[in-house]
Amino acid sequence: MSDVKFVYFNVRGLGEPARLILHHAKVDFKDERLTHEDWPKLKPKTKTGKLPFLEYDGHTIVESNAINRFLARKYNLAGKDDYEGALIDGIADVQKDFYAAVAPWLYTLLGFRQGNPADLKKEHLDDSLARFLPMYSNFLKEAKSGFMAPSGLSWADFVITEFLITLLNVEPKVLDGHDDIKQYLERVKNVPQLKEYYASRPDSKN
Amino acid sequence: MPKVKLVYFDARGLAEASRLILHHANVDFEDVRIQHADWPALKPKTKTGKIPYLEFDGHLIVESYAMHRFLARKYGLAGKDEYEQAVVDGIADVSKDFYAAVAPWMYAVMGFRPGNPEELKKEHLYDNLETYLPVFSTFLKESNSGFLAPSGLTWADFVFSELIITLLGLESNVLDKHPEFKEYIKRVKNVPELKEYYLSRKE
Repeated sequence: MSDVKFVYFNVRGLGEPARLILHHAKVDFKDERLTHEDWPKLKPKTKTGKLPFLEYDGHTIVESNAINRFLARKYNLAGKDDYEGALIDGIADVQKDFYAAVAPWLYTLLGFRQGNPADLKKEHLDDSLARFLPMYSNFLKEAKSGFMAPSGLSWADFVITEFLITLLNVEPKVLDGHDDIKQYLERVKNVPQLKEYYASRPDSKN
Repeated sequence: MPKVKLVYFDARGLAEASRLILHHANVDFEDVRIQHADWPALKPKTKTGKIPYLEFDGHLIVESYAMHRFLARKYGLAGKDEYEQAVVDGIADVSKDFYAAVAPWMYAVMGFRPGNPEELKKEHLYDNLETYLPVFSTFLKESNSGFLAPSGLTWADFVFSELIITLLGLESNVLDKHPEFKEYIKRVKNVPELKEYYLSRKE
């Protein structure tokens, strides 16, 4: 088994999709979780001053989606061919835009940034839900597989569902009126290779 | 030869990296440029309501980075192996973060979004130049190739150089503390397969 170490904070955040890919493939890996106290010491020693990073077979990979895509390609969660790979990349990029649109509200709510969440909610949460959830419904409808890509589960499903879980944690009604997406979330959490991990994993608000 | 059509506004913007990959590979493609007045009518007919999109051999690809990566992999500009491809993906993602960080100022200057550019300049332009340019300096230094990745020119060079070219166009002093990037831009624009295209395209 190649030497695999994944380093991130002790939260789901931007790191959980990579953990899910590795668990789905039953890859033995060191799941290193840093405390916020440990981080300032390690930060200058990292390549770009950010987490997560992945050490894989002697190589260091940074940036969450670069890590996710690299692992997904290795472990069959990147689509069946280049075209589907590009579709999945595109869906993950839409998710990144969704995340960026919601972040100003979410970060103030979680205390990561100054600001009054109530002032930011309409523009950043409500408007973003109205823009992005219909896109996700469309992707699901077009894929016909129950997941975002036609051939089934892919890493795009992990980035999307982890964020939806976070939103539900802070605002339980976000998926009200979106039964297709609620069912999709349950479907991902019930993927046989991951059911046990989802039931036992360290949880976190974000 | 596959049938290739790229659709975007008549600007470099988020599509230029794909145009550069296609020109670099000498691939014939239809370079469709939509006028802003025509966009509202076309928008509902597109997959996600956004451009650019790429039609390649009967397949539709959306999202700029997904397009660049797909074309780069096809035409040898994605990195020499899966590890370097991951490095290139990561560098391109840092460039995307840089773009998102300067966008509030950049879009206010261009008139795409409301806001007073002068008020946004320190937080969104200057602070981000201080945060990001050193990171890219490190990438250049470590690669040893004159480009961002060790094996040479990749699509990450296109997304990053296009961004700093745009910033230079809006504010001529942005690279004053980092002359290595002025050299770097010249180097990218002098890549033999692209020299002619860079000279003839409108900025």
